[in-house]
Amino acid sequence: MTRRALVILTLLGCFASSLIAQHTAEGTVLEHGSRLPVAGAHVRIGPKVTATDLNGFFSIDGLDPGLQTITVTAIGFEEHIASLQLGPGQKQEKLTILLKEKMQGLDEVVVTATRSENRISDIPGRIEMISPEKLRLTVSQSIDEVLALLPGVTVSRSFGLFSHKSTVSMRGLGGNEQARTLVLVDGIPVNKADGGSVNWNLISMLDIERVELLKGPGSALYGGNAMGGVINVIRRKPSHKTEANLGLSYGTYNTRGIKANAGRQHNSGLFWSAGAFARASDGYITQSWADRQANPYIVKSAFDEKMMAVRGGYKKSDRFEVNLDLSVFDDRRETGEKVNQPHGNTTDHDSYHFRAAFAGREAKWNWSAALFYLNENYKRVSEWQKDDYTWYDVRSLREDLGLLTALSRNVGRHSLTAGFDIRHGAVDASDIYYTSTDQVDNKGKMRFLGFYFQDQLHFFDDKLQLIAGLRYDEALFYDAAFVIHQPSAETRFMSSYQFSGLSAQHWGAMSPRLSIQYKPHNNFRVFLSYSRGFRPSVLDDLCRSGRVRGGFKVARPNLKPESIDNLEAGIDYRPIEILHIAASIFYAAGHDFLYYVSTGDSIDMGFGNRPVMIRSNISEVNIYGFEGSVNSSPLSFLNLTAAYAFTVSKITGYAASLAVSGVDLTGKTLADVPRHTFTAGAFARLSFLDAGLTARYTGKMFVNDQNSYDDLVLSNQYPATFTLDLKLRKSFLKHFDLGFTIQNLLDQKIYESKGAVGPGRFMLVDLSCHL
Amino acid sequence: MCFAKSHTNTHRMQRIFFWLLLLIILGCSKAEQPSLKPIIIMKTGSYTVNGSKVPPGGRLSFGITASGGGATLTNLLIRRKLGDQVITELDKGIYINEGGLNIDFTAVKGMAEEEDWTFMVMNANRDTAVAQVQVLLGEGSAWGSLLHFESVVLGMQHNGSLPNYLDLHNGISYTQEQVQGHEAEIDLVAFVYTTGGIISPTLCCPAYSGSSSVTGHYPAIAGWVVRNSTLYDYYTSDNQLISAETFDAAVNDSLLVTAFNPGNVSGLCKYAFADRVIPFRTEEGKYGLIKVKHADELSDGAIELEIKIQQ
Repeated sequence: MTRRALVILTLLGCFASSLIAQHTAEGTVLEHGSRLPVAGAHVRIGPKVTATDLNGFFSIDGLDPGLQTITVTAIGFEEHIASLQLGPGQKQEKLTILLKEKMQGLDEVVVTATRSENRISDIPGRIEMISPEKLRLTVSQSIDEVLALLPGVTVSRSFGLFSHKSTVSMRGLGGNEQARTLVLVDGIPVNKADGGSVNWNLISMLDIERVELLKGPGSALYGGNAMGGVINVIRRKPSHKTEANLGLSYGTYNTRGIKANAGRQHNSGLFWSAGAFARASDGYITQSWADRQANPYIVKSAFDEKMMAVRGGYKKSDRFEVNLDLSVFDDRRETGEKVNQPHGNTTDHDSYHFRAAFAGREAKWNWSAALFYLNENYKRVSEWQKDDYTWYDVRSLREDLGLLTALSRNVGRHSLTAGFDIRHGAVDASDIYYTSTDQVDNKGKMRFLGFYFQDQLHFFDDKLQLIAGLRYDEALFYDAAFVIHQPSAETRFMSSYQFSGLSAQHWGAMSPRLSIQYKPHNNFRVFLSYSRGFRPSVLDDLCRSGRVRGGFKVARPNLKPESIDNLEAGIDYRPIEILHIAASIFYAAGHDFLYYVSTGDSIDMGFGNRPVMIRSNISEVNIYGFEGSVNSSPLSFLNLTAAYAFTVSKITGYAASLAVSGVDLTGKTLADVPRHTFTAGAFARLSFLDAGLTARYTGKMFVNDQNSYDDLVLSNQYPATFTLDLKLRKSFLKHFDLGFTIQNLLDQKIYESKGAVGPGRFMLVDLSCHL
Repeated sequence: MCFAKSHTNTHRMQRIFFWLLLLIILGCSKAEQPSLKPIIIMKTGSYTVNGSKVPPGGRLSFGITASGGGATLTNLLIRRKLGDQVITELDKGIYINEGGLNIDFTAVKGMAEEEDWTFMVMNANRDTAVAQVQVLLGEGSAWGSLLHFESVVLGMQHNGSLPNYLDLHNGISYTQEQVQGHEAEIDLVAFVYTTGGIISPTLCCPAYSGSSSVTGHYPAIAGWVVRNSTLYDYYTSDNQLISAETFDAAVNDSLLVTAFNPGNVSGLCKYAFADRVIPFRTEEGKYGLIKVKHADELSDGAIELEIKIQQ
């Protein structure tokens, strides 16, 4: 009995000692050629997972002794798998892992195209991805500027950092319509229902892991706005070691910024991160020379912006994960004219975004659900001195909230995904005059309910893939009003366009998708895809009447959605390991596109008669084009890219009966769509310096949809532009990083539709310290 | 042990709760600013006062003083009520921080038995103050005589051989060199520019500013100390409400006063094509009519005007 007890005690002791004698593995993940640290790499040893910090460091404790497999993955690098023998005597392993750079492209895992993780090579469609490496070496003051390097993507940010609005569009759908391209942050939409716009300034560059683009309609999965494509900004999660960063920057026009962030993933599964940035600039004069002569109240367009974000969550395994996220943003951008107000004409955004995302796995089912609430308090101060002084504020409360769900599982050769989304958008706005008695109120609400289903079929060891998907969205527009109180001459001309108490408007949209791909081996694939997308009318068109360029806009509550049917074919080919060629051709037929058309009436808005315009679903559009890109890494430290896009967007049918002005747009080209764009980039990671040089040529674009002469641009087309940007980075003293950026190296003067000029050459130095 | 830990946690929670509550209270409380309403007082003495009797065509003179009650004064509104008809005589955006408002406003008595004049000021808080004056119809007639300048030729902005600057009160025009010393007398210049896709001969006063302001075409005006504001009734001109024949028939200032509709006026009058008749009021308060006899659509061309103005 005593002997048996002794044996049991010995065994228990061994077991206990094995528990107590658990190992810690720590080390550094470096790039193979340059030996520079790789941040954000995922390191897995057995069931334990962590991510490297900015120094490439990782640490995993609580490991059992014995033979373990260590797997390291990082975007832009080949997967590293090795065996790790943890002997009984060793308590701590010091590792150095070298990752080989991978040709970016087909092997990357993305989530946007299917609402679940998939390799790009397994998705029959054109997916683009911007890796952290490209983000680090591409000149950009905000994330949208990075997208301009991709073929077929048009970014309208006329005043660079000083723009209060930026628009990113794709596939020839008009460069000033953000509502035709869906933008997501971690899978959650940020287009506002009010105008479809996205405040790109509030997407912090602090913790972006990568950006994914799905080109062509994505409405079969995402519903509205995903007409030209989907942009998904994916943010990085904190690593297992506490990390903290502080950065300072200074540049042209006395532009100064500070940013800081910190975060950690705890072994318990809890993680947190917090970040903030503040940026301000004295700005420059954006107006044309003629305006400067004519207007004594012109001043520089300065700005001041602040952003703070806190995130927290829990992830112990793939079985359950929760992410909570709160972002607060506040900016004031001056628009270059000051009469009496402290900052003159300004726009202010006070925004906060709250997101709660849940995901998990139960048996063979993967599920996810996300709640979001976006609140934007927009204020615009307008003042000018003409005959007398005019001062009014636009105050607009915009709210967007929703619930997004997805459920997926693999059954045999089927990967099934289904779910439903509920979205609600509202605007409650007023134009409040101080130099007269007027107050103009407008409001409206829009609600969507969408159901979707998708089946991804795999045949012949994934050599043949088929995706079939269908989504139905039901939309409801209600509680709309446009009312004027105490009108004076400033607004009396709008009195006859007031409304309230309208009955709700319903419509539905069906969005199918069918795509097929043949991939005989990993270096080659071809795909063919059909998909339909739609864009709901924005609240601003449905319930607000007011001044627009060239006339007076009347609200139209019964507008239908725009839609597009898109057919595309693509090829990816990697003839040699260091070269990746991608090409797509597409043809799209657009229906019920919206335009301002004259009602035939005119109205005196205080400075003579102007035409009354109304948004109408009026035209059919044909868009076709070609996109091609080449990506090569001839040397381990050098990556070269080049891309060309050719796009033609023609109006093919125009319901002239609605356009009583007699204008017929048939045969005209959509405005703000360049026929030719060419981009090129060279990115080098040298042992002593990192460098990125990028170039972009944007061909001529029509100023307006009538393709007619514009008084301000003095042509019917904007001239072609060519810009060259340079970025240099140097890491030193282990914890420091020094960057130097020159945007628009050749100092091109780029004018926008109102004749205002861009900032020209812009230089910035930034220094960051990371611990 | 467990109790002690729980006790410590409770204390910690209480402290956190206390600080959170304090933060919320401090965040929510705002120093209440006493909000004072603006004040408006009509001047008396030589001014038109409540119950005054004035014959048709007679001059009305109102003196207005106002303060914003601690906030900036931003609007002065003057309305004349004739039975059911309400005419906005002035709706002016202002920005007066200190010292308050002290202005005189002149008008001409119409044919109505009673005219109810309302004077309102508003401040930046959109608080208002109102004063009212009733003017009764007096006996007789006080329509006045007019001055008639049959032909005044002005050069457009790039025409250096003709005078460009006009004093509407006496029909005298000045060249760029001659105008020095007479800036305070200038009420009108002319220029040509393209607006709304149309080449527009345009009349403008020196005080007008904005995207198509006078200083863009006559940069020297930017340096003038006194820049007169002339208000042109562009609505009457654009819609050709007064014919050239009616203009020719005017022998006293009755038409000059009644044609001017203060609801649609500006310091800029576009589309001043031949045969258009444009009512105006000068900074001095004189009413008049301009008939365009000829207008070139070239920036180095000329414009010929015929003018009738109150004497």
